[in-house]
Amino acid sequence: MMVGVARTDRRTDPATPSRGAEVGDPTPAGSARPSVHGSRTVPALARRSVLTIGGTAALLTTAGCNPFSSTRVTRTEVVTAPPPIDPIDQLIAKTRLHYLRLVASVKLGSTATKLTPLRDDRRRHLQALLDEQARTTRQKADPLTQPGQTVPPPASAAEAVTLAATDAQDAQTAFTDALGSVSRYRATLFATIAASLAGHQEALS
Amino acid sequence: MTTPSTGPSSGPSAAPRAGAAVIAALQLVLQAENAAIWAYALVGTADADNADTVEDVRAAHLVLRDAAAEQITQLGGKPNAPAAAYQVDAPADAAAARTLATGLETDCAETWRAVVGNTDDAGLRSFASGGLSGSAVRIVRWRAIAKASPVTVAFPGAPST
Repeated sequence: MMVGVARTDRRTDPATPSRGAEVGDPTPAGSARPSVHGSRTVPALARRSVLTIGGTAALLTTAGCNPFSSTRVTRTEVVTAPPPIDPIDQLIAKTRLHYLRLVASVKLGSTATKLTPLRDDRRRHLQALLDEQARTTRQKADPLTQPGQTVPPPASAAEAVTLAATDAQDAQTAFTDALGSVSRYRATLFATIAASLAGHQEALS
Repeated sequence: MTTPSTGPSSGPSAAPRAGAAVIAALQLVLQAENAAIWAYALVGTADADNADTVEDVRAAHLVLRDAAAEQITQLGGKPNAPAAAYQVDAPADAAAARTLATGLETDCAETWRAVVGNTDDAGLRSFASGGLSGSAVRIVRWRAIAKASPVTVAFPGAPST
């Protein structure tokens, strides 16, 4: 269509010089040059337009694009989600730290009666967590503590009791928070430990 | 939470299959809480020195009983009615009453713990964990009153404890 229009315009608009009407060209404006194929005349502009349109169409076809298509192509990109963080690692670290603090606090002497049962419970909690971790990783359970793992004892007996209560509250929150994202077996274990820690706070109050 | 039934229900069997196990676990909670409410009357009679504690604990069990019944209803089940009486040896003295109280709380803890292990719903797990923690606190309270050693429990509600 564009080609036909261009030909018509150039033939009827005398103010628009033809591309063939150059300086010194005897051919009058608006008339086409003679074709080499007998008497038929084809403007040079039309030929280039046809070639351009044809080339573009071929390029689009090669690229798989159809500008006249109404079909929308949805490209789905699958991004692999990062592996979920296993809360048991942090809970083991927290329990181990609290256990070591209780071990150090019990050595103060005056708090031994009150804190020894808590220390024993925390040791059992830590062992249960390590066993559960080893069960899922199919490896041998880590030891409760590594050689040399100690923490400095609190400055006083009162501070030791306060620290133990704070640790129990902190750990109870951590175990409760982890309930929603673990297996049923682990949820039971975590809930039981959280309940024990609630009891620790009651014992220290 | 498993898919709750929105229509009227004739019992746990009408509940969705996935929720049947947790409803059954909650029915056991309801039974244990009702038994505790009933038996704490015996504890209060035998341990007059701790009448205030008995009253507080009994009030807590009433709240938990109602909460468990509400949860069963929300899941599409029908809460079981409490029994007229429970087979409990009446405590002869205060020491026996405290032992009975500890046993009642241990029973409740076991049932709450079972709810946690029978659901994948985070909200229900948290709810049951609260019930379990409450029982654990009361176990420690009664053991402290009874001067038991150790006063704390490592795994409240676990079968070995």
